[in-house]
Amino acid sequence: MAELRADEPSVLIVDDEKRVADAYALRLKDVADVTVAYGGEAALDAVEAVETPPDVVLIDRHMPGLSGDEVLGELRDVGLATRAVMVTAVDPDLAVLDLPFDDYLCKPVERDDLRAVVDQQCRVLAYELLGEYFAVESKRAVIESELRPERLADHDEFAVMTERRARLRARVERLHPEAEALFERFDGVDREGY
Amino acid sequence: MPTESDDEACGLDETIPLGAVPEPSARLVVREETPVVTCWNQPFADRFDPAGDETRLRDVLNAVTADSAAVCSSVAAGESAEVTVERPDARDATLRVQTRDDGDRVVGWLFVTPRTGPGIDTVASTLSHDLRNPLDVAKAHLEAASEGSTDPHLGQVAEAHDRMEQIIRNVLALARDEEALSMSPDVDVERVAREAWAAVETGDASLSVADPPSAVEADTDSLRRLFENLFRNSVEHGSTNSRDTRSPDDGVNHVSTEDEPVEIRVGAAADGFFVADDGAGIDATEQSHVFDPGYAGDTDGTGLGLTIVARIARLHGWTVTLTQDDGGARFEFRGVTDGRDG
Repeated sequence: MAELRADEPSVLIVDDEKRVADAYALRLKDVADVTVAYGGEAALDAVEAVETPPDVVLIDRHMPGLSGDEVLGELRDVGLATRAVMVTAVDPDLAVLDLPFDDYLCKPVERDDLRAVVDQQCRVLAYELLGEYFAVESKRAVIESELRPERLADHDEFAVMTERRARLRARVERLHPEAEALFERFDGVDREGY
Repeated sequence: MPTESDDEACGLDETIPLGAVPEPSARLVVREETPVVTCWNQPFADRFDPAGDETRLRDVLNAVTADSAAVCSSVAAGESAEVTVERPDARDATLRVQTRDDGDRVVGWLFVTPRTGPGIDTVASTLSHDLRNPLDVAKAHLEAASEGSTDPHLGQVAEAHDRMEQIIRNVLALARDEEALSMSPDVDVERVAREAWAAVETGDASLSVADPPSAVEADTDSLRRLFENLFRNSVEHGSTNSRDTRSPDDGVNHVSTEDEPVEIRVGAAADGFFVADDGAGIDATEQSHVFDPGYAGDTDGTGLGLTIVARIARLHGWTVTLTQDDGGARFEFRGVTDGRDG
Protein backbone atom coordinates (compact mmCIF):
# COMPACT_ATOMS: atom_id res chain seq x y z
CA MET A 1 0.00 0.00 0.00
CA ALA A 2 1.31 3.46 -0.82
CA GLU A 3 2.31 5.70 2.05
CA LEU A 4 -0.35 8.01 3.35
CA ARG A 5 -0.04 11.57 2.25
CA ALA A 6 -0.34 13.93 5.17
CA ASP A 7 -3.39 15.84 3.95
CA GLU A 8 -5.42 13.18 2.21
CA PRO A 9 -7.72 10.48 3.52
CA SER A 10 -7.00 6.86 2.72
CA VAL A 11 -9.65 5.06 0.69
CA LEU A 12 -9.85 1.36 -0.10
CA ILE A 13 -11.96 0.48 -3.14
CA VAL A 14 -13.28 -3.07 -3.27
CA ASP A 15 -14.80 -4.31 -6.53
CA ASP A 16 -14.31 -7.59 -8.34
CA GLU A 17 -14.52 -5.83 -11.69
CA LYS A 18 -11.04 -4.44 -12.19
CA ARG A 19 -12.16 -1.74 -14.59
CA VAL A 20 -14.83 -0.51 -12.21
CA ALA A 21 -12.45 -0.39 -9.25
CA ASP A 22 -9.86 1.39 -11.36
CA ALA A 23 -12.50 3.84 -12.59
CA TYR A 24 -13.39 4.84 -9.04
CA ALA A 25 -9.70 5.13 -8.21
CA LEU A 26 -9.34 7.45 -11.17
CA ARG A 27 -12.11 9.63 -9.81
CA LEU A 28 -10.60 9.85 -6.34
CA LYS A 29 -6.88 9.93 -7.03
CA ASP A 30 -6.66 13.71 -6.72
CA VAL A 31 -8.42 13.88 -3.38
CA ALA A 32 -7.43 10.69 -1.60
CA ASP A 33 -4.73 8.11 -1.17
CA VAL A 34 -6.38 5.21 -2.95
CA THR A 35 -5.85 1.49 -2.76
CA VAL A 36 -7.85 -0.98 -4.85
CA ALA A 37 -8.72 -4.58 -4.06
CA TYR A 38 -10.25 -6.73 -6.78
CA GLY A 39 -12.27 -8.95 -4.49
CA GLY A 40 -13.39 -9.57 -0.91
CA GLU A 41 -10.41 -11.65 0.18
CA ALA A 42 -7.97 -9.16 -1.33
CA ALA A 43 -9.76 -6.39 0.56
CA LEU A 44 -9.27 -8.08 3.92
CA ASP A 45 -5.64 -8.80 3.06
CA ALA A 46 -5.14 -5.12 2.25
CA VAL A 47 -6.65 -4.05 5.55
CA GLU A 48 -4.51 -6.51 7.52
CA ALA A 49 -1.37 -5.33 5.78
CA VAL A 50 -1.48 -1.81 7.16
CA GLU A 51 -1.13 -0.49 10.68
CA THR A 52 -3.77 2.20 10.27
CA PRO A 53 -6.96 1.02 8.61
CA PRO A 54 -8.29 2.89 5.61
CA ASP A 55 -10.40 5.88 6.53
CA VAL A 56 -13.10 4.92 4.05
CA VAL A 57 -13.82 1.60 2.36
CA LEU A 58 -15.98 1.57 -0.76
CA ILE A 59 -17.44 -1.91 -1.16
CA ASP A 60 -19.22 -3.51 -4.09
CA ARG A 61 -21.89 -5.91 -2.82
CA HIS A 62 -22.12 -8.37 -5.67
CA MET A 63 -18.78 -10.19 -5.80
CA PRO A 64 -17.84 -13.84 -6.24
CA GLY A 65 -16.16 -15.48 -3.27
CA LEU A 66 -16.38 -13.20 -0.30
CA SER A 67 -19.30 -10.91 -0.99
CA GLY A 68 -19.39 -7.23 -0.16
CA ASP A 69 -21.81 -7.90 2.68
CA GLU A 70 -19.37 -10.43 4.15
CA VAL A 71 -16.45 -8.05 3.80
CA LEU A 72 -18.46 -5.44 5.64
CA GLY A 73 -19.24 -7.94 8.39
CA GLU A 74 -15.57 -8.87 8.78
CA LEU A 75 -14.55 -5.23 9.03
CA ARG A 76 -17.12 -4.64 11.72
CA ASP A 77 -16.26 -7.80 13.62
CA VAL A 78 -12.67 -6.71 14.11
CA GLY A 79 -13.84 -3.27 15.18
CA LEU A 80 -11.80 -1.21 12.78
CA ALA A 81 -12.16 2.54 12.92
CA THR A 82 -13.13 2.85 9.29
CA ARG A 83 -16.19 4.11 7.49
CA ALA A 84 -17.84 1.69 5.09
CA VAL A 85 -19.82 2.72 2.03
CA MET A 86 -21.57 0.22 -0.17
CA VAL A 87 -21.20 1.19 -3.83
CA THR A 88 -23.26 -1.22 -5.82
CA ALA A 89 -25.60 -1.92 -8.68
CA VAL A 90 -27.62 -4.20 -6.42
CA ASP A 91 -30.94 -2.55 -5.74
CA PRO A 92 -31.40 -2.28 -1.98
CA ASP A 93 -34.07 -4.38 -0.33
CA LEU A 94 -35.06 -5.11 3.25
CA ALA A 95 -31.87 -7.10 3.75
CA VAL A 96 -29.96 -3.84 4.06
CA LEU A 97 -31.63 -3.30 7.42
CA ASP A 98 -29.15 -5.77 8.89
CA LEU A 99 -26.09 -4.40 7.15
CA PRO A 100 -23.85 -2.18 9.28
CA PHE A 101 -22.76 0.19 6.50
CA ASP A 102 -22.40 3.94 6.87
CA ASP A 103 -23.69 4.94 3.44
CA TYR A 104 -25.09 3.32 0.32
CA LEU A 105 -24.53 4.47 -3.25
CA CYS A 106 -26.27 2.95 -6.26
CA LYS A 107 -24.31 2.76 -9.47
CA PRO A 108 -23.79 4.59 -11.67
CA VAL A 109 -22.22 7.15 -9.37
CA GLU A 110 -21.28 10.68 -10.34
CA ARG A 111 -17.72 11.73 -9.57
CA ASP A 112 -18.82 14.68 -7.45
CA ASP A 113 -21.16 12.47 -5.45
CA LEU A 114 -18.40 9.93 -4.86
CA ARG A 115 -16.02 12.61 -3.66
CA ALA A 116 -18.70 14.22 -1.51
CA VAL A 117 -19.48 10.94 0.22
CA VAL A 118 -15.82 10.28 0.94
CA ASP A 119 -15.49 13.78 2.37
CA GLN A 120 -18.60 13.36 4.53
CA GLN A 121 -17.45 10.05 5.91
CA CYS A 122 -14.01 11.43 6.67
CA ARG A 123 -15.52 14.22 8.73
CA VAL A 124 -17.73 11.80 10.62
CA LEU A 125 -14.73 9.57 11.26
CA ALA A 126 -12.71 12.59 12.40
CA TYR A 127 -15.28 13.35 15.10
CA GLU A 128 -15.41 9.72 16.18
CA LEU A 129 -11.64 9.67 16.52
CA LEU A 130 -11.70 13.07 18.17
CA GLY A 131 -13.96 11.66 20.86
CA GLU A 132 -11.51 8.82 21.42
CA TYR A 133 -8.63 11.26 21.46
CA PHE A 134 -10.29 13.44 24.09
CA ALA A 135 -10.89 10.40 26.30
CA VAL A 136 -7.33 9.15 25.96
CA GLU A 137 -5.74 12.57 26.28
CA SER A 138 -7.70 13.53 29.36
CA LYS A 139 -6.63 10.29 31.03
CA ARG A 140 -3.02 10.72 29.95
CA ALA A 141 -2.92 14.35 31.04
CA VAL A 142 -4.30 13.71 34.48
CA ILE A 143 -1.84 10.86 35.10
CA GLU A 144 1.05 12.92 33.81
CA SER A 145 0.14 15.79 36.11
CA GLU A 146 0.06 13.55 39.19
CA LEU A 147 3.04 11.27 38.68
CA ARG A 148 6.70 12.10 38.30
CA PRO A 149 8.19 11.54 34.83
CA GLU A 150 10.70 8.99 36.00
CA ARG A 151 7.91 6.83 37.36
CA LEU A 152 6.01 7.00 34.10
CA ALA A 153 9.05 6.30 31.96
CA ASP A 154 8.95 2.58 32.61
CA HIS A 155 5.20 2.24 32.64
CA ASP A 156 4.23 0.16 29.58
CA GLU A 157 0.53 0.89 29.73
CA PHE A 158 1.18 4.61 29.85
CA ALA A 159 3.50 4.29 26.87
CA VAL A 160 0.85 2.45 24.86
CA MET A 161 -1.69 5.09 25.73
CA THR A 162 0.68 7.85 24.72
CA GLU A 163 1.33 6.18 21.41
CA ARG A 164 -2.37 5.70 20.81
CA ARG A 165 -2.96 9.35 21.57
CA ALA A 166 -0.37 10.34 18.97
CA ARG A 167 -1.93 8.11 16.31
CA LEU A 168 -5.41 9.42 17.01
CA ARG A 169 -4.24 13.01 16.89
CA ALA A 170 -2.40 12.50 13.61
CA ARG A 171 -5.40 10.85 12.04
CA VAL A 172 -7.79 13.57 13.14
CA GLU A 173 -5.41 16.19 11.79
CA ARG A 174 -5.40 14.43 8.46
CA LEU A 175 -9.18 14.06 8.29
CA HIS A 176 -10.54 17.30 9.71
CA PRO A 177 -9.53 20.66 8.23
CA GLU A 178 -10.13 22.45 11.54
CA ALA A 179 -8.49 19.86 13.76
CA GLU A 180 -5.95 22.24 15.28
CA ALA A 181 -8.65 24.59 16.48
CA LEU A 182 -10.51 21.67 18.06
CA PHE A 183 -7.38 20.53 19.87
CA GLU A 184 -6.66 24.05 21.10
CA ARG A 185 -10.13 24.38 22.59
CA PHE A 186 -9.74 21.04 24.34
CA ASP A 187 -6.29 21.94 25.66
CA GLY A 188 -7.60 25.32 26.79
CA VAL A 189 -9.76 23.74 29.48
CA ASP A 190 -8.18 23.71 32.97
CA ARG A 191 -8.60 20.12 34.22
CA GLU A 192 -6.03 20.08 36.99
CA GLY A 193 -7.65 22.27 39.65
CA TYR A 194 -5.43 22.99 42.66
CA MET B 1 -65.67 -6.21 -35.36
CA PRO B 2 -65.89 -2.75 -33.88
CA THR B 3 -62.38 -1.45 -33.46
CA GLU B 4 -60.73 1.36 -31.65
CA SER B 5 -60.18 3.23 -34.85
CA ASP B 6 -63.90 3.94 -34.75
CA ASP B 7 -64.25 5.61 -31.39
CA GLU B 8 -67.69 7.00 -32.05
CA ALA B 9 -68.98 3.53 -32.80
CA CYS B 10 -67.73 2.52 -29.39
CA GLY B 11 -69.54 5.38 -27.79
CA LEU B 12 -66.48 6.21 -25.76
CA ASP B 13 -64.26 9.21 -25.90
CA GLU B 14 -60.88 7.75 -25.18
CA THR B 15 -57.55 8.47 -26.72
CA ILE B 16 -55.53 5.34 -26.00
CA PRO B 17 -56.19 3.24 -29.09
CA LEU B 18 -56.96 -0.40 -28.47
CA GLY B 19 -55.26 -1.22 -31.74
CA ALA B 20 -51.96 -0.10 -30.29
CA VAL B 21 -52.21 -2.44 -27.31
CA PRO B 22 -50.55 -5.80 -27.96
CA GLU B 23 -52.50 -7.66 -25.29
CA PRO B 24 -56.25 -8.39 -25.39
CA SER B 25 -58.08 -5.14 -24.65
CA ALA B 26 -61.64 -3.90 -24.96
CA ARG B 27 -63.93 -1.09 -23.95
CA LEU B 28 -67.26 -1.42 -22.31
CA VAL B 29 -70.22 0.55 -21.09
CA VAL B 30 -72.79 -0.28 -18.42
CA ARG B 31 -76.34 -0.35 -19.76
CA GLU B 32 -79.21 -1.07 -17.39
CA GLU B 33 -76.75 -2.48 -14.88
CA THR B 34 -75.28 -4.81 -17.47
CA PRO B 35 -71.69 -4.31 -18.58
CA VAL B 36 -71.53 -4.55 -22.36
CA VAL B 37 -68.29 -4.84 -24.32
CA THR B 38 -68.61 -2.44 -27.22
CA CYS B 39 -65.31 -2.61 -29.04
CA TRP B 40 -62.12 -4.60 -28.86
CA ASN B 41 -58.81 -5.22 -30.52
CA GLN B 42 -57.74 -8.23 -32.54
CA PRO B 43 -55.90 -9.98 -29.66
CA PHE B 44 -59.14 -9.75 -27.65
CA ALA B 45 -61.11 -11.24 -30.55
CA ASP B 46 -58.57 -14.02 -30.89
CA ARG B 47 -58.65 -14.75 -27.18
CA PHE B 48 -62.35 -14.50 -26.38
CA ASP B 49 -64.09 -14.92 -29.73
CA PRO B 50 -66.91 -12.46 -28.98
CA ALA B 51 -70.11 -12.80 -30.97
CA GLY B 52 -71.66 -9.91 -32.90
CA ASP B 53 -70.82 -6.22 -32.67
CA GLU B 54 -71.40 -6.15 -28.94
CA THR B 55 -71.29 -8.76 -26.28
CA ARG B 56 -72.07 -8.97 -22.59
CA LEU B 57 -69.05 -8.87 -20.34
CA ARG B 58 -70.41 -11.87 -18.50
CA ASP B 59 -70.41 -13.95 -21.65
CA VAL B 60 -66.78 -13.05 -22.18
CA LEU B 61 -65.77 -13.82 -18.63
CA ASN B 62 -67.72 -17.06 -18.32
CA ALA B 63 -65.17 -18.71 -20.57
CA VAL B 64 -62.21 -17.83 -18.42
CA THR B 65 -63.28 -17.46 -14.80
CA ALA B 66 -65.81 -18.70 -12.32
CA ASP B 67 -66.01 -15.24 -10.85
CA SER B 68 -67.74 -13.65 -13.81
CA ALA B 69 -70.91 -12.77 -11.88
CA ALA B 70 -69.01 -11.03 -9.11
CA VAL B 71 -66.83 -9.13 -11.54
CA CYS B 72 -69.86 -7.98 -13.53
CA SER B 73 -71.63 -6.84 -10.38
CA SER B 74 -68.62 -4.79 -9.38
CA VAL B 75 -68.30 -3.24 -12.82
CA ALA B 76 -72.01 -2.47 -12.97
CA ALA B 77 -71.60 -0.64 -9.67
CA GLY B 78 -68.82 1.44 -11.15
CA GLU B 79 -66.04 -0.40 -9.39
CA SER B 80 -62.87 -1.71 -10.93
CA ALA B 81 -62.10 -5.41 -10.71
CA GLU B 82 -59.50 -7.94 -11.64
CA VAL B 83 -59.24 -11.70 -11.86
CA THR B 84 -56.49 -14.12 -12.65
CA VAL B 85 -57.01 -15.99 -15.89
CA GLU B 86 -54.96 -18.53 -17.73
CA ARG B 87 -53.40 -17.62 -21.02
CA PRO B 88 -53.43 -20.00 -23.98
CA ASP B 89 -49.78 -20.75 -23.23
CA ALA B 90 -50.85 -21.82 -19.71
CA ARG B 91 -49.13 -18.88 -18.06
CA ASP B 92 -51.16 -16.78 -15.66
CA ALA B 93 -52.40 -13.42 -16.72
CA THR B 94 -54.39 -10.72 -15.02
CA LEU B 95 -57.68 -9.56 -16.48
CA ARG B 96 -58.50 -6.09 -15.26
CA VAL B 97 -61.59 -4.01 -15.72
CA GLN B 98 -61.20 -0.35 -14.87
CA THR B 99 -64.27 1.80 -14.68
CA ARG B 100 -65.12 5.44 -14.69
CA ASP B 101 -68.41 7.02 -13.70
CA ASP B 102 -69.15 9.79 -16.16
CA GLY B 103 -72.24 10.83 -14.24
CA ASP B 104 -74.84 9.62 -16.70
CA ARG B 105 -73.12 6.33 -17.40
CA VAL B 106 -70.34 4.04 -16.31
CA VAL B 107 -67.70 3.23 -18.88
CA GLY B 108 -64.74 0.94 -18.62
CA TRP B 109 -61.67 -0.57 -20.14
CA LEU B 110 -60.80 -4.24 -20.02
CA PHE B 111 -57.33 -5.51 -20.60
CA VAL B 112 -55.35 -8.66 -20.05
CA THR B 113 -51.72 -8.41 -19.10
CA PRO B 114 -49.16 -11.10 -18.49
CA ARG B 115 -48.30 -11.40 -14.86
CA THR B 116 -45.29 -9.32 -14.08
CA GLY B 117 -43.33 -10.94 -11.35
CA PRO B 118 -39.94 -11.93 -10.12
CA GLY B 119 -38.91 -13.08 -13.55
CA ILE B 120 -39.12 -9.68 -15.14
CA ASP B 121 -37.78 -7.98 -12.04
CA THR B 122 -34.82 -10.30 -12.01
CA VAL B 123 -34.08 -9.79 -15.67
CA ALA B 124 -34.35 -6.02 -15.32
CA SER B 125 -32.15 -5.92 -12.24
CA THR B 126 -29.56 -8.17 -13.80
CA LEU B 127 -29.55 -6.17 -16.98
CA SER B 128 -29.27 -2.91 -15.13
CA HIS B 129 -26.45 -4.26 -12.98
CA ASP B 130 -24.56 -5.38 -16.02
CA LEU B 131 -25.06 -2.02 -17.70
CA ARG B 132 -24.36 0.20 -14.75
CA ASN B 133 -20.82 -1.04 -14.19
CA PRO B 134 -19.51 -0.39 -17.70
CA LEU B 135 -21.40 2.88 -17.72
CA ASP B 136 -19.55 3.94 -14.58
CA VAL B 137 -16.26 2.96 -16.18
CA ALA B 138 -17.05 4.92 -19.33
CA LYS B 139 -18.08 8.00 -17.36
CA ALA B 140 -14.97 7.95 -15.20
CA HIS B 141 -12.65 7.80 -18.19
CA LEU B 142 -14.66 10.45 -20.01
CA GLU B 143 -14.32 12.74 -16.99
CA ALA B 144 -10.58 12.21 -17.06
CA ALA B 145 -10.41 12.85 -20.79
CA SER B 146 -12.59 15.96 -20.47
CA GLU B 147 -10.38 17.74 -17.96
CA GLY B 148 -8.99 20.75 -19.77
CA SER B 149 -10.50 19.64 -23.06
CA THR B 150 -13.02 21.55 -25.17
CA ASP B 151 -13.50 18.75 -27.65
CA PRO B 152 -17.21 18.84 -28.56
CA HIS B 153 -17.20 15.12 -29.26
CA LEU B 154 -16.70 14.46 -25.56
CA GLY B 155 -19.89 16.38 -24.81
CA GLN B 156 -21.76 14.14 -27.21
CA VAL B 157 -20.39 11.10 -25.43
CA ALA B 158 -21.53 12.53 -22.09
CA GLU B 159 -25.03 13.04 -23.50
CA ALA B 160 -25.05 9.45 -24.71
CA HIS B 161 -24.10 8.31 -21.20
CA ASP B 162 -26.95 10.36 -19.75
CA ARG B 163 -29.33 8.75 -22.18
CA MET B 164 -28.13 5.28 -21.19
CA GLU B 165 -28.81 6.15 -17.57
CA GLN B 166 -32.30 7.29 -18.45
CA ILE B 167 -32.95 4.05 -20.30
CA ILE B 168 -31.82 2.01 -17.31
CA ARG B 169 -34.11 3.98 -15.02
CA ASN B 170 -37.01 3.55 -17.42
CA VAL B 171 -36.48 -0.17 -17.79
CA LEU B 172 -36.44 -0.57 -14.03
CA ALA B 173 -39.55 1.55 -13.69
CA LEU B 174 -41.37 -0.57 -16.24
CA ALA B 175 -40.31 -3.76 -14.54
CA ARG B 176 -41.95 -2.80 -11.29
CA ASP B 177 -45.43 -4.09 -10.74
CA GLU B 178 -48.26 -3.13 -8.47
CA GLU B 179 -46.56 -4.55 -5.44
CA ALA B 180 -43.93 -1.86 -5.84
CA LEU B 181 -46.51 0.84 -5.16
CA SER B 182 -46.53 2.25 -1.68
CA MET B 183 -49.80 4.08 -1.45
CA SER B 184 -50.28 7.10 0.77
CA PRO B 185 -53.75 8.49 1.42
CA ASP B 186 -53.00 12.20 1.29
CA VAL B 187 -50.43 13.01 -1.36
CA ASP B 188 -50.30 16.69 -2.25
CA VAL B 189 -50.23 16.87 -6.05
CA GLU B 190 -48.78 20.38 -6.15
CA ARG B 191 -45.93 19.50 -3.82
CA VAL B 192 -45.02 16.40 -5.81
CA ALA B 193 -45.30 18.30 -9.10
CA ARG B 194 -42.94 21.01 -7.86
CA GLU B 195 -40.47 18.41 -6.58
CA ALA B 196 -40.53 16.77 -9.99
CA TRP B 197 -40.03 20.13 -11.68
CA ALA B 198 -36.93 20.74 -9.58
CA ALA B 199 -35.50 17.40 -10.69
CA VAL B 200 -35.88 18.02 -14.43
CA GLU B 201 -33.68 20.23 -16.56
CA THR B 202 -36.31 22.78 -17.52
CA GLY B 203 -34.25 25.51 -19.15
CA ASP B 204 -36.38 28.55 -19.93
CA ALA B 205 -39.64 26.65 -19.49
CA SER B 206 -42.02 27.70 -16.75
CA LEU B 207 -44.43 25.88 -14.50
CA SER B 208 -47.69 27.15 -13.08
CA VAL B 209 -49.73 25.09 -10.67
CA ALA B 210 -53.35 25.98 -10.04
CA ASP B 211 -55.16 24.14 -7.27
CA PRO B 212 -54.69 20.50 -8.17
CA PRO B 213 -56.03 18.02 -5.59
CA SER B 214 -54.23 18.45 -2.30
CA ALA B 215 -54.80 14.97 -0.87
CA VAL B 216 -54.98 12.10 -3.33
CA GLU B 217 -54.34 8.42 -2.80
CA ALA B 218 -51.12 7.70 -4.64
CA ASP B 219 -47.62 6.34 -4.50
CA THR B 220 -45.53 9.47 -4.10
CA ASP B 221 -42.43 8.23 -5.89
CA SER B 222 -44.41 6.96 -8.87
CA LEU B 223 -46.41 10.17 -9.07
CA ARG B 224 -43.16 12.16 -9.04
CA ARG B 225 -41.83 10.03 -11.87
CA LEU B 226 -45.08 10.58 -13.79
CA PHE B 227 -44.65 14.34 -13.51
CA GLU B 228 -40.94 14.17 -14.33
CA ASN B 229 -41.63 12.26 -17.52
CA LEU B 230 -44.41 14.63 -18.57
CA PHE B 231 -42.36 17.73 -17.78
CA ARG B 232 -39.35 16.34 -19.60
CA ASN B 233 -41.55 15.58 -22.56
CA SER B 234 -43.06 19.06 -22.64
CA VAL B 235 -39.78 20.87 -22.11
CA GLU B 236 -37.93 18.97 -24.76
CA HIS B 237 -40.69 18.59 -27.29
CA GLY B 238 -43.22 21.17 -26.32
CA SER B 239 -42.61 24.32 -28.27
CA THR B 240 -39.09 24.81 -29.38
CA ASN B 241 -38.27 23.62 -32.85
CA SER B 242 -34.63 23.11 -32.09
CA ARG B 243 -33.77 19.44 -32.36
CA ASP B 244 -30.65 20.05 -30.33
CA THR B 245 -32.69 20.52 -27.20
CA ARG B 246 -34.83 17.47 -27.64
CA SER B 247 -34.98 14.94 -24.92
CA PRO B 248 -33.05 11.74 -25.10
CA ASP B 249 -36.31 10.24 -23.98
CA ASP B 250 -39.36 9.68 -26.07
CA GLY B 251 -42.10 12.15 -26.51
CA VAL B 252 -45.00 13.62 -28.29
CA ASN B 253 -43.86 14.74 -31.67
CA HIS B 254 -45.17 18.27 -31.59
CA VAL B 255 -45.45 20.27 -34.74
CA SER B 256 -43.62 23.41 -33.79
CA THR B 257 -43.49 26.71 -35.56
CA GLU B 258 -42.23 28.94 -32.76
CA ASP B 259 -39.14 29.08 -30.66
CA GLU B 260 -40.68 30.27 -27.41
CA PRO B 261 -40.11 28.66 -24.03
CA VAL B 262 -42.88 26.30 -23.20
CA GLU B 263 -45.25 27.01 -20.33
CA ILE B 264 -46.52 24.00 -18.47
CA ARG B 265 -49.61 24.00 -16.34
CA VAL B 266 -50.77 21.58 -13.67
CA GLY B 267 -54.30 21.90 -12.42
CA ALA B 268 -57.47 20.23 -11.31
CA ALA B 269 -59.65 18.16 -13.61
CA ALA B 270 -62.89 16.35 -12.94
CA ASP B 271 -61.96 13.73 -10.31
CA GLY B 272 -58.32 14.18 -11.08
CA PHE B 273 -55.69 16.52 -12.45
CA PHE B 274 -54.10 17.51 -15.72
CA VAL B 275 -50.71 18.47 -17.10
CA ALA B 276 -50.80 20.71 -20.15
CA ASP B 277 -48.36 22.77 -22.18
CA ASP B 278 -48.74 25.61 -24.63
CA GLY B 279 -46.61 23.98 -27.27
CA ALA B 280 -47.26 24.22 -30.95
CA GLY B 281 -49.47 21.18 -31.01
CA ILE B 282 -49.42 17.47 -31.48
CA ASP B 283 -49.17 15.92 -34.86
CA ALA B 284 -52.51 14.17 -35.28
CA THR B 285 -50.86 11.16 -36.84
CA GLU B 286 -48.80 10.65 -33.70
CA GLN B 287 -51.52 10.97 -31.08
CA SER B 288 -52.61 7.38 -31.23
CA HIS B 289 -49.11 6.06 -30.64
CA VAL B 290 -47.55 8.17 -27.95
CA PHE B 291 -48.15 5.68 -25.16
CA ASP B 292 -46.86 2.73 -27.12
CA PRO B 293 -43.68 1.12 -25.79
CA GLY B 294 -40.86 1.92 -28.13
CA TYR B 295 -42.60 4.86 -29.68
CA ALA B 296 -40.36 7.90 -29.88
CA GLY B 297 -41.22 11.28 -31.23
CA ASP B 298 -37.76 11.73 -32.60
CA THR B 299 -34.97 9.62 -33.89
CA ASP B 300 -32.95 9.50 -30.68
CA GLY B 301 -35.72 8.88 -28.20
CA THR B 302 -35.98 5.85 -25.96
CA GLY B 303 -39.71 5.50 -26.36
CA LEU B 304 -40.46 4.63 -22.78
CA GLY B 305 -41.22 7.89 -20.95
CA LEU B 306 -44.88 8.21 -21.83
CA THR B 307 -45.35 4.46 -21.66
CA ILE B 308 -44.29 4.74 -18.03
CA VAL B 309 -46.74 7.60 -17.52
CA ALA B 310 -49.57 5.43 -18.82
CA ARG B 311 -48.40 2.51 -16.72
CA ILE B 312 -48.21 4.52 -13.52
CA ALA B 313 -51.71 5.82 -14.19
CA ARG B 314 -53.00 2.32 -14.80
CA LEU B 315 -51.38 0.92 -11.67
CA HIS B 316 -53.18 3.60 -9.70
CA GLY B 317 -56.47 2.77 -11.40
CA TRP B 318 -56.52 6.12 -13.18
CA THR B 319 -57.33 6.77 -16.80
CA VAL B 320 -55.14 9.04 -18.86
CA THR B 321 -56.30 10.89 -21.92
CA LEU B 322 -54.24 12.95 -24.32
CA THR B 323 -55.96 15.85 -25.99
CA GLN B 324 -55.21 19.19 -27.58
CA ASP B 325 -55.42 22.13 -25.22
CA ASP B 326 -55.11 25.59 -26.70
CA GLY B 327 -52.83 24.10 -29.28
CA GLY B 328 -50.63 22.25 -26.82
CA ALA B 329 -50.74 18.80 -25.32
CA ARG B 330 -52.99 18.06 -22.37
CA PHE B 331 -52.67 14.88 -20.36
CA GLU B 332 -55.65 14.41 -18.11
CA PHE B 333 -55.77 11.89 -15.28
CA ARG B 334 -59.16 10.85 -13.98
CA GLY B 335 -60.48 8.40 -11.48
CA VAL B 336 -58.08 9.79 -8.89
CA THR B 337 -59.16 8.94 -5.37
CA ASP B 338 -59.48 11.82 -2.96
CA GLY B 339 -57.64 10.57 0.12
CA ARG B 340 -59.97 12.51 2.39
CA ASP B 341 -62.93 10.44 1.21
CA GLY B 342 -61.55 7.25 2.62
